[in-house]
Amino acid sequence: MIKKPPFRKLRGYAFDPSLSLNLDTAVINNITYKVRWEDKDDPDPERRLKSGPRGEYLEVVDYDPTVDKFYAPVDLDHPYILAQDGLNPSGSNPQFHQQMVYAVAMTTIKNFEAGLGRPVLWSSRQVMMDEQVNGNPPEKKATSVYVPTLRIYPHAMREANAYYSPQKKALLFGYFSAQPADVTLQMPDALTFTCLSHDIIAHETTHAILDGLHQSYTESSNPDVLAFHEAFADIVALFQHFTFSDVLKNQIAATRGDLAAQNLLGKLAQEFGIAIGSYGSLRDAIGTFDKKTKTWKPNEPNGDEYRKFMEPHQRGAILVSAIFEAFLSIYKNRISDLLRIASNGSGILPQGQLSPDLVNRMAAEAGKTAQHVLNMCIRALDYCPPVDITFGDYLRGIITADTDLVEDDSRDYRLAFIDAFRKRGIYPSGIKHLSIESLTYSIPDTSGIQGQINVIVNFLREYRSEILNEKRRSEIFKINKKYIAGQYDDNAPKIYGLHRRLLQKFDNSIQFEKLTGLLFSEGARGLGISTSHAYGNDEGNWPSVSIQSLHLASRVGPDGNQVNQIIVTMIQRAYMTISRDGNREPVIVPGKANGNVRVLGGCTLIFDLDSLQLRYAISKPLLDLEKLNEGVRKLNKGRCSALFQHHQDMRIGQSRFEAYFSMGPANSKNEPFCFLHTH
Amino acid sequence: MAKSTNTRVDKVKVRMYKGGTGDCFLLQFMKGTEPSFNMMIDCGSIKGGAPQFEAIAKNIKAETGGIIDLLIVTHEHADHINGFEKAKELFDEFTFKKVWFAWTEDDEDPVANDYRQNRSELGLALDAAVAKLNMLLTDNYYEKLFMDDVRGQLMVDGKRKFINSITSLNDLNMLKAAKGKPLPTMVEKFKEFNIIKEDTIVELLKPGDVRSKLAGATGIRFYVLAPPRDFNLLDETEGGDNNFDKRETKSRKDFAFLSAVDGAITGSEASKFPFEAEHELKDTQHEIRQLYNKVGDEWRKIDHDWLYSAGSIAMRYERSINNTSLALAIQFEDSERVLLFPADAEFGSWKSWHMDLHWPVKIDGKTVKKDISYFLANTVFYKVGHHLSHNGTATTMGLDLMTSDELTAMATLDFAKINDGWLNTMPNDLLGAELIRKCNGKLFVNGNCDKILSNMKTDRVTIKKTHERIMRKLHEGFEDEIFLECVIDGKNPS
Repeated sequence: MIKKPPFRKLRGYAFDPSLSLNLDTAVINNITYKVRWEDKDDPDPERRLKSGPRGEYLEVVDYDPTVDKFYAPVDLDHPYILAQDGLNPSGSNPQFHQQMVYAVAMTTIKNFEAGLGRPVLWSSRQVMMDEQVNGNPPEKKATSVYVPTLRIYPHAMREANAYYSPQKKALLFGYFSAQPADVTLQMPDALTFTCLSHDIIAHETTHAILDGLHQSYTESSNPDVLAFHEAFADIVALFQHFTFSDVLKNQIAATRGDLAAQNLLGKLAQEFGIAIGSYGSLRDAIGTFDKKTKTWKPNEPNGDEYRKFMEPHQRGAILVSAIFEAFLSIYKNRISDLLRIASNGSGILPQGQLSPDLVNRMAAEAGKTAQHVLNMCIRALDYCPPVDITFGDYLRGIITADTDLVEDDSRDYRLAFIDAFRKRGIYPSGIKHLSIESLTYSIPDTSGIQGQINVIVNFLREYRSEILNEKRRSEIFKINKKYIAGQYDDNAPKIYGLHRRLLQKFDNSIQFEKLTGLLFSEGARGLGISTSHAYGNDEGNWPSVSIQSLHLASRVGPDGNQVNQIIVTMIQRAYMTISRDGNREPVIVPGKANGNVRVLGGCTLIFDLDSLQLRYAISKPLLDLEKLNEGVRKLNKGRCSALFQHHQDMRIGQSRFEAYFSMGPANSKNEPFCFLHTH
Repeated sequence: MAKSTNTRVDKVKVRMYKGGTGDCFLLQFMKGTEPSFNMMIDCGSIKGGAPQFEAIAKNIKAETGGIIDLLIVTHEHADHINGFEKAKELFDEFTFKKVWFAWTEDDEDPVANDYRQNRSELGLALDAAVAKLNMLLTDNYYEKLFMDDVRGQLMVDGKRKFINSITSLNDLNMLKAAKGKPLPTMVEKFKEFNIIKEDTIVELLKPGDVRSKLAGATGIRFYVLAPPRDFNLLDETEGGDNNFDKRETKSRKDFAFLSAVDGAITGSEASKFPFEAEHELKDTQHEIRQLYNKVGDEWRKIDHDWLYSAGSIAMRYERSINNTSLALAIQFEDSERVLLFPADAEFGSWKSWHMDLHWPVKIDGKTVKKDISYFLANTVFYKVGHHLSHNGTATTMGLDLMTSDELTAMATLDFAKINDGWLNTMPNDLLGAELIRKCNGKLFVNGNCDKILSNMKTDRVTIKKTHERIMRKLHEGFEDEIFLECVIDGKNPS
């Protein structure tokens, strides 16, 4: 019996076709991606690989609506294709395009799962469905529906654009005629395919993965939210460059180990950038090309960026450069011994080319560092509030997640992050000073509600035992849904869901309200908070709370210590209208009305299954916490007026295209990424 | 024409009509109390109906006797010319002695013809895309598509807004090409409107041109600033000079998109297929087709999403046409005072004024070459470019150089009659506040003054209370009129 191969090897571009036309980079641009082997005869039909390629996670559908034609789908199991590690990279063969998007998207998913420690699920579809409860007439109810595969359209439009559509659960890639500013860089009018760019594919795939983890991050409730989406997608694409070992070695040799100098690894979407008329890549984490002097120069943060730049890409670039700088400082630290060895202790390398051994060692360090940094960035997502994220929240998430997993930060990774954020003026709100201790979320005081928490934790342990060994993604979705919403069928054991338990255990608990910042007592209507009549609360004045996600995080740190946590995210919605009085002070009127604004509160609860503790409650409060301390429940005025202010600023700051065509910040449902990416 | 004892024009009465967002100006050059020269600039409005234009035409006739010495047609957008069509019967009775257009309307100029040919292709593609998108609205396509989605109405609203916006952008384009033929010129269009009759003198003007000694307008010189004769400048609609350097690329044709739309109309295959024909999926029953067309999964389809690309093309097209605006500086020879009428010129046009252009100016009887900063420094009346949008007035290359204490400005912006998409971009708060400051409150708008003021007053600008009072007061005087008016004196204050 021959064993199944662990990987499928597929050839593709490390960057994009433009680097294959350049003598210096052609050698390193053609690489072989190793993606998880999906078997055409897998006993589980959901996991089979079919022509397209269509597999467990992805379905590539190469329909080109601009010509109303399908292109023949590639069969990766064709013996000739198998025998030569996939089709040869080629711009003129759409089947190679399909192979390329599949290979890069699968690689991105794999890297994500490694950091996350669980399978990637796409964001579910929220639909109104008829639901019949206890023999009552069917009622339309919002239900989340499992989406097994992300669809990829490699040739979806003729425009210099590519985007993730949260509505279609699909990636749409465009192609267009190049309009280079400099004809020596690219042939004018040549067709440029965004689906052949590793960076663009990885970027868009990451948007989709992030949407699967935090659905509310597509709602621009502060200047950081969409910027975060963009930045995160860039970060994943960037650090993926470091997994291509030949590219990495080549660039280490070219820069003599100084990755802060201009290099390919820090650049994103080169062909695209040139094709739309720039002089270089679309984005660059470490430097910029000066149009006047026509030279590249490194970016120096001046601490002002975070206050100055509001456009999501520009703002996102601040976060990207902060993370990249953290990476660079850790890398420099890790190779300092190598440099000393190679330079007889001076730390200054001799002139000329580096020895290949040194290059290999440095590349290994760079690769390892990149993996660590990327994992830190991914893990932090579980430690972020479910709504209204800011860069500061993200920094706290990074530090907290890392502190939980890695007790001894011997190489000062965390300091490197804090330092890079500080240099760009990114400070979390609500902390007194910048230190690892104050950035780490504190363990909440649960003394008055420990009994209820124990009940919840015990229930979550049941969840853990059921989910722990489940690898099928559709089953994971089902189990999650069952434990959130409960199971009340007649022919299955009854399960009271987490939703019901939380609402009932903490009903009227002001202490839980203080922890979460959400309303758990009667009086929702007066606050403009959506009401619910679930579980017999039929007077219509009880608040609605929705549980967005339930995850198990089982991770092992470098010292062998294990983290066993359950992560629950909750969201509550309020509607209000806001205006300014004579002194331009905001006046908030709760409730739905013409021109109302929807404000979201949310909380991420992290339970530790070993110590039976509620370990963290990371909250974006809907309620005013100070008033709550006095026993009064009021909408959080600060967050409401910040949202209002942001909506106003967006009207001023948006591009002319957005101003003209979009519905404005209050309508997040209309292809937010399509608008963001339109050039 | 009324006779006058004065030999030279000593003031000009500028009347801005309240036709909605769109330009219609009557300039009466006065010798003493009598008008000696009647000049009209444009007549059009977004969403303006025939009755409104008829009232305007009647008013102009009452003022001028229907004799217009000079008509300026700045550019082809509906909000500048549709009045001539909508009140055609009334304008038929007018006599337009002379009409000025920009050089872009010259059908014997190869540069102009080339430019028009390009635009014809773009225009056709846009028309096709817009028509298709509107069919989707008529068919309630989006309602059906998003029927089941939670908050599906938001998605429907978003698409509707998008399609309405692109439609109203496209509606600005009044000149339509027949398939295979270039767009008609505006000269042809105005013959069709019967504005240009047998005796009408038509002149096509280039940047650098000067006109003076027009009968009845003694002492007045007309300087042509734009449109520039460089394609790249026509395409340039955002400048690094602006306060907001928005990241948008230049207007260029995307051949890939155009050929696809063209293919969709003509059904011609070869021009549009991006790959060799062998790559097409021939199997009509292939699983992948079934997957795409699966009943119940329509929400995943992408049949029409590619047409949204027409949005950015329509926007660039509009802006490039704005840049074909005939921009004029009108000067009192004696006092050197200037009235500036840039129509809807965008950044590329403003920039071109500064590029090696000089105009012969008469100062104390001598002819001196002067560049644009001279004219801007002497500007005492400014017709605000492009309805107070941020791109219609350059900052360092424009407003910053207008330094006269005597500045008065008029802007055509009316929220009651406006393109939906423009609501978010007009007025630009920074520009509005700066203008009010520079004019000491003497800014006229042809829409509701209160509404426009409150829209300008964002957190980042300050408007002085005294200026605001002056501005409101100016408008109160014309509440019952269909126009606003100011008189610009030809003499400098002593």
